[in-house]
Amino acid sequence: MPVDALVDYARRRWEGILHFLVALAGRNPAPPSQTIVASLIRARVLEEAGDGATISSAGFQFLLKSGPAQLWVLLRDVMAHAGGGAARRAADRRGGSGGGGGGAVDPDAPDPEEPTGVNGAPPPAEAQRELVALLFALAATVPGRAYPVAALASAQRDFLPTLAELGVVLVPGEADEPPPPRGGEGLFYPTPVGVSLVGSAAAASTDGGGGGDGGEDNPAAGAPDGTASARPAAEALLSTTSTGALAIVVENNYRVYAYTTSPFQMALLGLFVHIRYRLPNVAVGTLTRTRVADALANGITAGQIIRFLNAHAHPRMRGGRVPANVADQVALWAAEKERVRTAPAVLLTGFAGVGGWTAVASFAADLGAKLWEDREGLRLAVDADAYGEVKAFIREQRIE
Amino acid sequence: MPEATHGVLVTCDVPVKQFLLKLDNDRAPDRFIVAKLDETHLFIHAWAVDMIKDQLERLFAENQYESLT
Amino acid sequence: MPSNGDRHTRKRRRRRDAEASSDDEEEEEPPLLRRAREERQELEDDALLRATDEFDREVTEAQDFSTLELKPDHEARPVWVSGDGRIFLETFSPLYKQAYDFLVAISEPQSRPDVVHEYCLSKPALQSAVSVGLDGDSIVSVLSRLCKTSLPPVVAAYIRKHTRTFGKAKIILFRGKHYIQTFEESVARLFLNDSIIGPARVLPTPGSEGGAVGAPGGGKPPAGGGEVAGVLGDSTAGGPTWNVEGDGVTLAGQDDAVSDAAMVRSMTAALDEGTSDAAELGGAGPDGPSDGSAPAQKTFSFQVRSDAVEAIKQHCQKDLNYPLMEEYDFRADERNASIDMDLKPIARIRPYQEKSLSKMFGNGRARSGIIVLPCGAGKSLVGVTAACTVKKPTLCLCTSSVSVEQWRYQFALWSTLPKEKIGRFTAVGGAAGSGGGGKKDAPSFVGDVTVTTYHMLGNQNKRSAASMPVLEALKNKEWGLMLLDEVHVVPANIFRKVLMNVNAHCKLGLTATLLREDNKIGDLVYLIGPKLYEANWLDLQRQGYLATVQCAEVWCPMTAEFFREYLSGTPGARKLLYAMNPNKVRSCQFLVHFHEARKDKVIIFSDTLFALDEYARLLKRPFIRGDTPQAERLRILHLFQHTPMVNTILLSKVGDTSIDIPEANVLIQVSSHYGSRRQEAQRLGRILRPKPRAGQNFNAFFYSLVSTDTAEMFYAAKRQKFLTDQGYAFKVITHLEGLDASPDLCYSKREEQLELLASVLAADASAASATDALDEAVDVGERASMMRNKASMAHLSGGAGREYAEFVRHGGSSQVANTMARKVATRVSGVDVDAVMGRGVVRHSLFRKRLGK
Repeated sequence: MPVDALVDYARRRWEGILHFLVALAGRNPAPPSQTIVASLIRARVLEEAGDGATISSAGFQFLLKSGPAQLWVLLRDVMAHAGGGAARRAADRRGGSGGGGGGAVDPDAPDPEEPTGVNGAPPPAEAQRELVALLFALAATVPGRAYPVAALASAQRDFLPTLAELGVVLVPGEADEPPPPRGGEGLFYPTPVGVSLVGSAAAASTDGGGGGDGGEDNPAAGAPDGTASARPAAEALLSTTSTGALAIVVENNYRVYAYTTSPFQMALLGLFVHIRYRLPNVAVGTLTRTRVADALANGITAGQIIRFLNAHAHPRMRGGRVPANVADQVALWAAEKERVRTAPAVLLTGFAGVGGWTAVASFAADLGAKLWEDREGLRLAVDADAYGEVKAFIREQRIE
Repeated sequence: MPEATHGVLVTCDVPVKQFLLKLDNDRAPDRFIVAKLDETHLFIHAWAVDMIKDQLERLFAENQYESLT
Repeated sequence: MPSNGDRHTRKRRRRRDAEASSDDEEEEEPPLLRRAREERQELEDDALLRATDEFDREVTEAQDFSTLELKPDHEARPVWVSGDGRIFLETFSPLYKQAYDFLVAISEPQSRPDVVHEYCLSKPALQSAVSVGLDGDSIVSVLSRLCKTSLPPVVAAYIRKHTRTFGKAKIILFRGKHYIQTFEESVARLFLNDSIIGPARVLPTPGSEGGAVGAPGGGKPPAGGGEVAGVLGDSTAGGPTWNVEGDGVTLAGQDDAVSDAAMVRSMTAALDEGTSDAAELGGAGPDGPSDGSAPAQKTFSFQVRSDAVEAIKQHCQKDLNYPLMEEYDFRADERNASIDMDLKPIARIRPYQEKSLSKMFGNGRARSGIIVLPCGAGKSLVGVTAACTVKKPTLCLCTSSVSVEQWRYQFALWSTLPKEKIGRFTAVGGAAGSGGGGKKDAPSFVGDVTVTTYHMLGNQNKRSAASMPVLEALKNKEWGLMLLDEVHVVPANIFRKVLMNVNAHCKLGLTATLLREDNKIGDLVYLIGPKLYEANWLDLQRQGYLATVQCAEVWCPMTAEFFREYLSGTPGARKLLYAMNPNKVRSCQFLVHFHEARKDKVIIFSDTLFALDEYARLLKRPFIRGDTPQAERLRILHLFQHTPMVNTILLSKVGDTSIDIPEANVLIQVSSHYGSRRQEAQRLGRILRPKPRAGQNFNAFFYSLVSTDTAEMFYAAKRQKFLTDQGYAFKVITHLEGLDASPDLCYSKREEQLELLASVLAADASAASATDALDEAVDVGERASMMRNKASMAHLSGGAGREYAEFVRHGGSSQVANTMARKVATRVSGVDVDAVMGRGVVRHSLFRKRLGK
């Protein structure tokens, strides 16, 4: 099988998953399988909301990570839950649902947190060892060549459909691929992404340890440094899984021209860019306060937006990065949100003397609960959560 | 025994505080400011938090010029 | 020329059809068939365009054109065209230069930053394109070639529709009478049966001159014969020549005539895969729109009443869709004596100036139209060169009496015309409200070139007895060329009067910003003519013709007290409060100190006179406002330009256009006119003349001081829009480094701030919010559209601009102006030198009261 076709296949698979995430709010492309959806929920990329799943703040940040980092977040999770996941996946298929189902998590599905094997699948620990072995084995394969499924251990075989869905391997007949040609049954094809997976792990592991850590703004996200990667070439190849040939021009009048043919990338950009035109190989838009404010409200940070744009800067851009005035303005929009901060608190007034006030103030400070103080007016504001302890202290010390 | 008032501590900059004071005045008698603490702090009723955030967003948005053409 | 354009179009169509049907026959298509085919095409186009008379510019939803088919070699092509007429151009393409020239000829530039440009197809732009020698089919053809995708059919239909009828009729001035001329009988009939044009026709009385429809004229107007032919006849003389001996620049019109074609051809060559299309473009391209081989044509012409000309032009442009072209065959004009006037050898014409002139004189005649060049890019030289090319009596109109002298100086500097032949027509009584500068030595007289203001010609009432003879002389003279400076600022009503009063064969408008907040720019197209050329600011900057400017928006937070008052203040009080915000005053003072220490020359602009006075008082620097006498102005400017004694001056908005200060390289804007993008561009233009300062990235600085959390934020962003769309970056400075550490700044103490606040609040609202003198005269319309207003953003409307104030001002004859000025200004006359020089302190009456106890 031609390597190009495998690269294209891998990209399509992975973008399908990402596009699903981006489009949750709007148009719904075909959702990935339950296994992947469950994994996305465990990784807190998705959160369950009402009748379905919705993308979380961490999920928005996940979208802006580099391709390998994203893939490893899912792989790690899928492997950690291998026995259950693969088995359930098998059950799905037997039920003929084929992994469809509207993107919502089936509330009747077994608790995905429970990694116990069912239906006679191997115990999880053993399965995980086999899967890790498979990933390492993939590193030694040659993209484009076919390998027999029969050579795999059973846990590895069960894992194959998921890997196919993630674009790590191509299995004819799986993941919307045409069935194998005559004589080609029982074969699978590692994609270049699969072959370079292990090499990219180092880079991915520096990339913030997964999207489930919630809220943190990891400076490495979206721009894995080459030194961490043992195989820069493979790394570059892999990073194209999610980024494709994306090249973005940001002009100093906030206009954005994104060279891409990928609907996913256009949708991704639409998270913080007001898209004005879609042309065959470019999306035209404007960075606006409204759109950026929406993105910020979704948990994306100003830094992530700028890093993402810089990481994909069009080679023709002066200095190879977002113009300084635009980067500044995005940061200023973000800073606007910080202009007012509110904290539930208790205001303490009417102290009889400086002594009592000082004692309470230092007690609260030691707790880390002192929010504001006015020594002259003998006033003090403490964190509402810590008020119980402060109150107890006032009672005990009989502070007047 | 010191007095304890439950509410929300607002930390802001100088102009925002002026804006909130004006807002408080305009909404009399439904005032939301419990205590004016200093140049950058106010203590307010918890019920007003969402309202003041909305009003501030309106103020900020009003002074923004956005052109899409 | 229309005949030729038409002929070429026909030939082109024929070839195209021949190719399409694989029909190799080269025979003439029978007229009936041709007509039927053209009608079919028109019907198809109209069907396509039914919903799209004009492309919608208010795009809010993403427009999806992703299904357009990408050509296999799209990477080699520089352009996308969307189905709503928007064009995107990659500036890094090897074809950029040619594509730019082409696109700027057929569309309006919207955004021209570093990497990707945006343009919009529009009706006026397409008509401009036709007038400089392109035709609809070649526009479609070239655009298709440039385009990375297939050209959306609706765009091709749009282009064809709006170029089809252009160039079929023209209006000609002969012996003070206006004639409409066309080569097509159907058009002539359409005009004569029209309810507006028909009645305006002047029927020829027996034995007199005049036109009659239907008589074949062989290139000459039918009746009246010989003399008319002198003007109207085909000219095969060589093109215009600029004789610049020094560096041997000699431009021949015939060469330039092919420049559009050359452009098309070179692009074709670069893009083409060697198909027969290339031959088509090369052979029948628009390289032959000039006369040459044209056989005798039927012409139809008739005279119309001169007072109906404007209405007819508008009607033809807007309703009939047969815009009237104006061309002046100055070589064949024997009635008006030629003037011995050439460019001096020292004149160096820059490539973009040459290009713009080639658009004007491309076919050996002078086309009426507008040339758009950034401020500081040498518009005057273009004007003088045009006059030296036409070599006929030239009338130059500008916005102020100061500009009049600057234009006379430019003519004397660049042309061989002696200064005594460069006339002027200004108010003989001197500037309004002045203590007397400039009246003794500035008598009005008419010369071969005469310079005057729009106001002098546009305002007929209350003309002093002394100026009447000059006015009459100007009116009775037949002008070969009329130069219109800063043409975008002229309110349409004044402009109309000017055009009614003066007869000129050719009109050339010059401007830096073809932009009005009230969207009345469209009117200029029929009042003057199409846009002939528009230069790209960023390209000129890169080539060193313009200064490299660092633009910054400096954020000045409102102090607590000022913001409190702002929140409950009236609109007038608010305006004053954000102008006088102590943090802004301090920032301004800091910047002045900083740049003076660098030996820079600083201009501070304030529209609000109260703020102007107060800033001048605090900074102890001289200022010029509308009521500053002419002599005083010139003295201050002299000191600023030629001595180190004055390095900073303050200007009210009189400085926006009419004061030329090439030395200035720093501009600080403390108060401005709402959201006027034009004012922002004009002000930037004050510092765009390049200054040699070795080793610095930026040699000019533009600061806009903005009080945060106020409406000024909104206006500042809107004002910047035009400049950012030319590629200028505005950097936000939230905090001036070193500001707080500067002990010598004013208003560092709260008491001082409160005192200032008291004076601001005490200021009489009308006086306080007064800008220069006559803000009341500003038409409510344009101001409303400049002010923050949701509706106005979507739908700009309104009338004349604030500029009216200045005309009245400099004209100096309006009593309204004087009384207003007195009311507004607290010191009317006799500004004492000390005060102006900052050794003393100029005080607003309020301050006098307050400080004098």
